[in-house]
Amino acid sequence: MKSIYLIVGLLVAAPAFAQRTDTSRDARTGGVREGAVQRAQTAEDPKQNSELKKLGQATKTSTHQLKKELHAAQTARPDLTFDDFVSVKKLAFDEGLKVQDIVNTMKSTKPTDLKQAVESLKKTP
Amino acid sequence: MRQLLLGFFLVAVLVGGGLAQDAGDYTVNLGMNFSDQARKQPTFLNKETVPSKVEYWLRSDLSLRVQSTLLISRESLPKMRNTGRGDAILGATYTLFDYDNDHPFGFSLDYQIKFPTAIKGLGSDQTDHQVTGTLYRTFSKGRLYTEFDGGAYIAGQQGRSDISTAQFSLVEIVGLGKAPAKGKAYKWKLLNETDYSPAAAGSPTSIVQINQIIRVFSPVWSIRFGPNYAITPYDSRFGFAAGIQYKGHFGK
Repeated sequence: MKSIYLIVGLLVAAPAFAQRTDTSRDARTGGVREGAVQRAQTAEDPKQNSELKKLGQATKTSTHQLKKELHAAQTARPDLTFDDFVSVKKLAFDEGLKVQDIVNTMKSTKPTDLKQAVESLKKTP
Repeated sequence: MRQLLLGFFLVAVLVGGGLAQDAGDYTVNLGMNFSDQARKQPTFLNKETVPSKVEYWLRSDLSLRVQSTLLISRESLPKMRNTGRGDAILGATYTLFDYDNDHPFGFSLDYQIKFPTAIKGLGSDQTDHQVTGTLYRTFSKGRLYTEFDGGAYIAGQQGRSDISTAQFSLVEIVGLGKAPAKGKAYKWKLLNETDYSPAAAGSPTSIVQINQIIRVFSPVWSIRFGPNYAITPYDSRFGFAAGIQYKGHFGK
């Protein structure tokens, strides 16, 4: 009986002993302060973010979607630079084509091959 | 507290916005934290938690988040365990200005309120508030990210007035390996966080160190994992945390 009283007493007293930030910390993913990892990812390349924002406004696409398209394009074609991607995206938007279709059709990242890829895709029904 | 909230939203409305994210962006996080007992606190025994977070950007500079400890399993006495739902948090972060070509550093304000949704014995049973300001920037062409956080944690007390304690953090995140080409991000990163709270109102000083390895698979998926340990004797002496993040966007 004595041990039950002791257990109940300790359980009731436990919150009083809890560390002041204890229960907030429980909700932190990875135990890390909120937003730090997210901010680090955003701040990694501010210049590129600014260029993506401009491209997004020109092509009515979110930065997140552009990053996804860039990642997919560079996975399919590792030699594709960021500037190549900007050209491909602008052309894809103007012609109503998908970036990935153009990237897959391009023989190389040369501007002439980019135009040829777009022409051949436009002819494809 | 009311003045603090009012001030936060006034600043959010009056100051120009940053470029941190797009409106419609969101993240979903799920994790698992383990913390060992404290060296000098007999009631603080092993604990496992499953934290979750959903954050949504209402504007490019303003995000709202809901955090919840989906499950806590805590050793209340040796060989006795209490398991159940944890506390829930509602928070907002406002980026006054982002680190970019026009600003040498970024600055954001964060407010969060913790609701005592945990089952008896797994939370403090009180509503807490936290206000934090964050100064951040990168160095070495984006390889080293640093941020300094300063703020206050206002813990509710049953039958007594709230206890306010200062909180400071220093976070460094280093990109590992060769610098990525333009348009690509570091695949592996190392995070180091030091949290410090000075002694106040009967609570002892707290210094906690967190280390994490971050693996970025794509702009959508990333994971992180690593140990944490306390330098001060009244915090969990050792712990391990892991988490997974999904990033998405509503709309085109």
